[in-house]
Amino acid sequence: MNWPSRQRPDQPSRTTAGSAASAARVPVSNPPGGTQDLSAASVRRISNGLKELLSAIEGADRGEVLDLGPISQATVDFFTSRGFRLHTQDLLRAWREFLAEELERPARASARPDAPDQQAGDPGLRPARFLARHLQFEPQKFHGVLLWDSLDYLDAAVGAAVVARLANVLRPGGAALLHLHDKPPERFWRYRVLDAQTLECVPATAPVVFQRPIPNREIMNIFHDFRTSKTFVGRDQIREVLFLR
Amino acid sequence: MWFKQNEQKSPQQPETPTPRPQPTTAAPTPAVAPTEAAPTAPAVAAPSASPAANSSRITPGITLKGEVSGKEDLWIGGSIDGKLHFDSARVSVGASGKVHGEIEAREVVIEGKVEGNLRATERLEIAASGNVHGDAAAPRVALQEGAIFNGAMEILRPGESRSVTQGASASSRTAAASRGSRFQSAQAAGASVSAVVATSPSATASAAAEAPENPAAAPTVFRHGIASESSGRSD
Repeated sequence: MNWPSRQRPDQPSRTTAGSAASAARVPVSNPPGGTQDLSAASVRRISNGLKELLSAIEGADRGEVLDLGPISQATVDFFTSRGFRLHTQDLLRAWREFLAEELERPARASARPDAPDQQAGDPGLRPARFLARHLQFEPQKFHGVLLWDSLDYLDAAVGAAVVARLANVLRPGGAALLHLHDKPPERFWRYRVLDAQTLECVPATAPVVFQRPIPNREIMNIFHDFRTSKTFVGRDQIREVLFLR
Repeated sequence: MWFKQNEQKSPQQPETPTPRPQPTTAAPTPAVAPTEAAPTAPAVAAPSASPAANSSRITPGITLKGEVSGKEDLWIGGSIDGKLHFDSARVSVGASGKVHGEIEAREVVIEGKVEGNLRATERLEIAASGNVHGDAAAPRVALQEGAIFNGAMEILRPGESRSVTQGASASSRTAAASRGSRFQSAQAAGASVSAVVATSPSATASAAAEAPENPAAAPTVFRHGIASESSGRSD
């Protein structure tokens, strides 16, 4: 079950006090390609979710970790130095590219009315089409998955399908770390793992638009294939949720 | 983890002006998509995929199909569909370069697009404009902010780095035969090309590379007369 953490909320330790303070005033995230202010400095935050994830997966000999954010030198260094093999697949970027192709699909279909593309363009089939090209891994391959900020940026159906796929590729006892927001975030972050409980949050333009805050009950339904979860609520509006397979 | 900045000359100020591809095509300055930009990107070495004066080159507009091996550094601005085997040398894929196949080399630098596995016995660098779909293994890895990498990253331990195949033969001395007026080839020194060469992306005819009899030892240069591709992200 899900239980709120009693410990002190995670507090970002600002690398640059002034810029971090100004970061809080940055307007809500712009759509892709917008002009979101990226001038703020990166900030560091203590991640109890990461700490718990590591305690769950460490000890695995030549463990495999899947990072669903963009590749980062720090994260690669961290996990490979601990003997893990790090797989990277930028989920939101892949989703953005997939959506762009989907939007072109009607034009292609009208240009070639005889092509069997009309039914394939059904938005209801998007999750299947997306997963046919992404997250293609053998079952129970990974010990850990880093989802970061992703689920509340995806369509609900696609998000549920992604989680179902992750449940399939995670080993029993494996862990998945997810970040969630109770309201539209002020900015989009990319995360780098600096040490066992410290993340560097780098401001970036969101690849896709934030969809909606996902209620706890819905999260529990989406992750119904997982055994347990722990939630760590931070004052920076980020909820870290760790799911154990 | 970042390698020496002075290891490679600045791409804007090459030491030797000739021969080299057109600046517009070889400019290694990554055309990073704005959405991927991160203002707090760490200071990293300048992209080092620009062709060195003594490296063999496959310039923009040239397409090779087949296995390529050698002992000299190779710079790729064109397209290769096949395996690259340069055990003791560096393979650089420029911003306009595309490789569909495995790359094994002492050092691998990616600024362009690669679909295939990478294995470097010394060092791997993926620049901000680099786009790699495949697994990578190297003892040392340098990743610039904005690089796209889909695959598994493994840091090789010293013993593991020997797993790179030692199969490249330096005996065969091959260069692409001159086909038409679109590119010229100098003779190879230690480069082995078993490939089909097309002179431009739009070329309708491809020609099998033939090994010339000229034993002159000079760097292989596949040079396209007209720069037909712009540098930048290829994805």
